[in-house]
Amino acid sequence: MARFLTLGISDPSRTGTTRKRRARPRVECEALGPGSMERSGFPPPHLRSMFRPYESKRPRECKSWLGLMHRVLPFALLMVGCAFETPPAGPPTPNRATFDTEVYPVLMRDCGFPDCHGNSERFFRVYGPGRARLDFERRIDDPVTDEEMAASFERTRSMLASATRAEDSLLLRKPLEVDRGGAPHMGVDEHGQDVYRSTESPGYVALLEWAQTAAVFSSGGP
Amino acid sequence: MSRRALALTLALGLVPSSAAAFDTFDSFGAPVLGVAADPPEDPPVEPTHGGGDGRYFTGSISDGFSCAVCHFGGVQDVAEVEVEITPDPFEDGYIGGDTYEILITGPSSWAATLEFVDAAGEGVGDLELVPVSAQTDADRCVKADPTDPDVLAAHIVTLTGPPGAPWTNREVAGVDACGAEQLRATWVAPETSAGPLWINASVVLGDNGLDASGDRTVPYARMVPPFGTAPEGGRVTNGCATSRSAAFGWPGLAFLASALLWARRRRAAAGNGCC
Repeated sequence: MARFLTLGISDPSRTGTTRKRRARPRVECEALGPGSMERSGFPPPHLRSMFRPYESKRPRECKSWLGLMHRVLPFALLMVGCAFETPPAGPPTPNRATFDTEVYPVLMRDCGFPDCHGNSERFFRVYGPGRARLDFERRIDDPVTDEEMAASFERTRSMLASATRAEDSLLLRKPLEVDRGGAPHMGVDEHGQDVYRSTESPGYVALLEWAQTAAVFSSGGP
Repeated sequence: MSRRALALTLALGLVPSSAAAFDTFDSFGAPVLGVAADPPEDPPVEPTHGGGDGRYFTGSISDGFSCAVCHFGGVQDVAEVEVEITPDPFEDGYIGGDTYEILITGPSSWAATLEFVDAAGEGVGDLELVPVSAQTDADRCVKADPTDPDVLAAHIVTLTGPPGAPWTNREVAGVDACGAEQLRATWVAPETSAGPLWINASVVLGDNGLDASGDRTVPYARMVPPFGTAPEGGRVTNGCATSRSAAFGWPGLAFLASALLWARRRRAAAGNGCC
């Protein structure tokens, strides 16, 4: 009898029915707590800092031993994995010189507008003359600086992370029309057109050829 | 066709002043990394004022973006921008070979671009500026030195489509942010009907800052039907992704109404103790 009670099931002989264990609100637990904005994808990343103070704490009833395992197990597995495998060296590193001469002008022309990826609230940013500046003290039409070029390079190659092929990276998929294999992009123009209408667009080709200079892509994937 | 003028007033803006970034029309055609001195200066100087590399932001379907892709954050106030076309082509449609006068007036300092394209983004008709001899002070830049001959504020450029572009030729007119009060041009409609056309203009009213923030933008887009066809409503868009809201439209409203009706019935059923 005592064992029945600890499992949350009442004595059938006393009630005549079997009371099922109360189900935990799994869906609500998934949707609440720190990181819920990242899990749900809403609001957009550039607005999350504004809403962070209002992010709810994880309810007490969500803190089950299963939930604990759910959180701890990945880290445990990661630590075990780290013992046998070299950690990745970061995002792919395509050719820097090609970026400076071939890719940066394309990004400046097609992406780096102050209300788009020249905006400091965007993860992917491009800095340069006539658009957004890394140093607020610089005039908008001053020549590009080494720091701006380097920052643009780092931000751009970070858009190649987590892809096994250059074509699958966010850098290549975001500006491409969805019906040509692209990903949804907030930066479509006022007619709903994305930056590159096809994979033959010169800008797309320039980005792809540059991305493929990264060893991780040219060798056929990580 | 009646020879009447159409004046569309868009009330907006703020105390006008020049906008930074592409404050001259030729900036749109300049290399993105800046304009090198021509002929080269000795000692050489760094190129400055990064350009658009041939992208002219009129808001037409040819390129897609308007001034709003760079300029943002302006405050609405009292200034006005008017677009006037004589004779009015919107009611009865354009007549092949006819000449139309276009007048865009703004505050004392502003910048604008203008073009005519067809549904595919191809430039149509013949766009020309008012001859220099017919220009008035309102057409010219305000110069510190009145004897400076370089006072023309309006410009026009003929563009050839880059590889892969859905258009091959366009003509774009524009006015520098140099104190001119108006942009005047003439447009000769194509001899043969090219179907519905679009007049696209994009205007920016700056805050005299050193960047593109704090500038008010005015996109203007309106369909010009062929002669004898029914006109359709105009459209004015703004922002980086206005099409997302347009995607909701009537189907979205219908879906929302259905969902609300369903929820109401379900509530009513539950209240009646049904089921």
